[in-house]
Amino acid sequence: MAALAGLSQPVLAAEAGPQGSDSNRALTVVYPQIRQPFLKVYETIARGATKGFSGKASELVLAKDQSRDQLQNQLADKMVIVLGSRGVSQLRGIGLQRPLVVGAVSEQLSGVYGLSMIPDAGVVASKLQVLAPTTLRVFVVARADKNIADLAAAQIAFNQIDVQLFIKEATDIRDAANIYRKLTAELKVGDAVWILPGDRFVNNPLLSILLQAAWRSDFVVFSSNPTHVNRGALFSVYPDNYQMGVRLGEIARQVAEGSQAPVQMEPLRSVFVTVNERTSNHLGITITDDMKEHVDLILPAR
Amino acid sequence: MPNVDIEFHASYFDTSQEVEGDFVVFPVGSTGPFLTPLGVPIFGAFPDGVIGTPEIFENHIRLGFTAQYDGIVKHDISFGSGYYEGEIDKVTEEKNFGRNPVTLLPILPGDPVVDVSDTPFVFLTEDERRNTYAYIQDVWQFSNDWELTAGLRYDDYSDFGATTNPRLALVWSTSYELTTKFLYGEAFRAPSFAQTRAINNPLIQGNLELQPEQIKSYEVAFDYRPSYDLTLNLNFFHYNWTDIIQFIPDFSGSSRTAQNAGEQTGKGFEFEARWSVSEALKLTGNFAWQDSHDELADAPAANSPEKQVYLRSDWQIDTRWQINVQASWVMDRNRSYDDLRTPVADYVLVDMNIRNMLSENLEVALIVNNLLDEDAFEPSPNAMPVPFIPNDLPLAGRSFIGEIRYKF
Repeated sequence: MAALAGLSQPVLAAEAGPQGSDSNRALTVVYPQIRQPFLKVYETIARGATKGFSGKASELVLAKDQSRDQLQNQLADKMVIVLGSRGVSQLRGIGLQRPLVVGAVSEQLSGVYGLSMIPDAGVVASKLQVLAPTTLRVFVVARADKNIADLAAAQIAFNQIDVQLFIKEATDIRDAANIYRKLTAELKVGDAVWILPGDRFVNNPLLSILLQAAWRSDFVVFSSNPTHVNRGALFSVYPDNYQMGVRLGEIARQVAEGSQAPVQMEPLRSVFVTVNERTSNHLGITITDDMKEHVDLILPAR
Repeated sequence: MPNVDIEFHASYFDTSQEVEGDFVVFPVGSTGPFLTPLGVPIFGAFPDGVIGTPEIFENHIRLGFTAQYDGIVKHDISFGSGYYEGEIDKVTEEKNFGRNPVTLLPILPGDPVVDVSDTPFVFLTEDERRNTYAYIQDVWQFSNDWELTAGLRYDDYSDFGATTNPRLALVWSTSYELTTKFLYGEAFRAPSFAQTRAINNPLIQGNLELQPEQIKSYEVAFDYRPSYDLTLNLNFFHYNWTDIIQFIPDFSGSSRTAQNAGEQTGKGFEFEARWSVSEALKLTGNFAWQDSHDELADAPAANSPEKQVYLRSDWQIDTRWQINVQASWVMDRNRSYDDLRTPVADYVLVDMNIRNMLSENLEVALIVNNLLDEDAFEPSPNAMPVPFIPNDLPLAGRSFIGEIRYKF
């Protein structure tokens, strides 16, 4: 805790593999101080990044009021991976010599290397194809000003598995609730609802209404939030934090070694998949050995 | 073999129960448990108390395998088999009562402690038990919302023979919120070595002719989750428990011998609720009611409570402070039909736990058990002509425990 007040010593220094002679070859993983259990996500990503970087690595936990001058002094000549939106905004513009590698943010940022927390739509589509192969139509309710551009790529990914992706634009939570209510009355076997990563529309009561309707009308609900599977969604695709960290570490190493790769964020392909067995049984989906290859956790029926 | 997962297991366990010094069973000046059928002490006072230092050395070997086969669509079949061998390989005892193995005369009050190990006058016979078993179970998803589990287990014991026990469970996903279960099971409990092989004990005698206790139980269970924050469980049950091993008084004196004498039937229900009131506050509670009947005595079954209530709250006040309070209310415990004591009183025990996470590594807690300092008792067993512990078994009064935890 003491390490969080002001600019601290790195809380962890790990050495693995080859070490560079200059500090460009040293990695610092920076992330904001938040409360547990959420902090554990950053800690796991940082552990993976240390592994993926295969060099001298340390971690720096940011206080909210961290001095920018101190940050600049400490990080200026380092290779830096920064996690979380707050971490990115605290580090932006402090004058780092090396390009920033960004992780654990819920949107695609331009001008940086890194990975977002949002699973690649192609990966999500491939999981749908395996776990609910009779799905023909997928519906998403998306924030009109935010998600729509990303969903154009998702539409292509779903088309490739012969599934049509229908995007319903909502301006606010009330609008979204109305759209969901209409959908629940219309959807049937062969349809699916995809609750988008970082969705702010589907609160607990709305999720209950949606899942009750899905049970009655035998349509699929899938999401990127594993707790939705506890409640009855068929499956959830969400980040494998450790592997995401490993990939961030690899990107940081390539950048440190002068890689000429375009400066952009990569889609997240390292994911976990959790399936609800009670819901899959109800939908008549038998989880075969082949399907189990794509699943990390099966939540057993009650 | 495709679709088959097999696990083998083997274990060896060697243990002993040893006594340091003399173990005083009845205190200095006591006449001990040696009574005539009329309850009159046979001996005078034991000036050193009644002393017995029983020691047991035993070992257990277990070998077996379990296998899972999922090669048939909608079936999940598991089976297994194994072997168990348990042996009491050494029994020793020193005592100042019973019969002297050298002179064959009774050991009288005031006599020194005598070593009776390796003689017929020791408290338990050395012996072994072997058990081979096999089982098979199929979980069959025969319809989208219906699952049937059927299992059968066969056991063969070297000392009392074979027993076969089935179980059936039908689970119905009735709706999004509700799951209904219908359960039937048969089970047995093998007699312990003390129940079959205790000898020369002034209070209890073993019986090599004992059979296992048997139980058949029926249950209907509802698991209802009306919202994400609330889970309600309701179970109704009925059981029939036969060949219950009881120590029945001998005609010849104050001792009792193990017999498959008892039979009990019972019915009841259990209700449980778990409610997340908010992120920070969780409430759980259950209520259990049962009506059990001693069939031989044609009387209510003794000792277990007819009603119980349990309530608990877990409150995470902020990131540091946490308070848990729980209350357990035990009601309506019957005495045995031949026990003339007044009924044992109901009690409510309240415990509280206050915890502060001072840092990531350090936490302190104050735990108060029996906060209301309730005078609570568990019933002591009855005995003829009077119970050995007549005033029941007191539970601990109010206690305070301080706890400091440091994680390295």
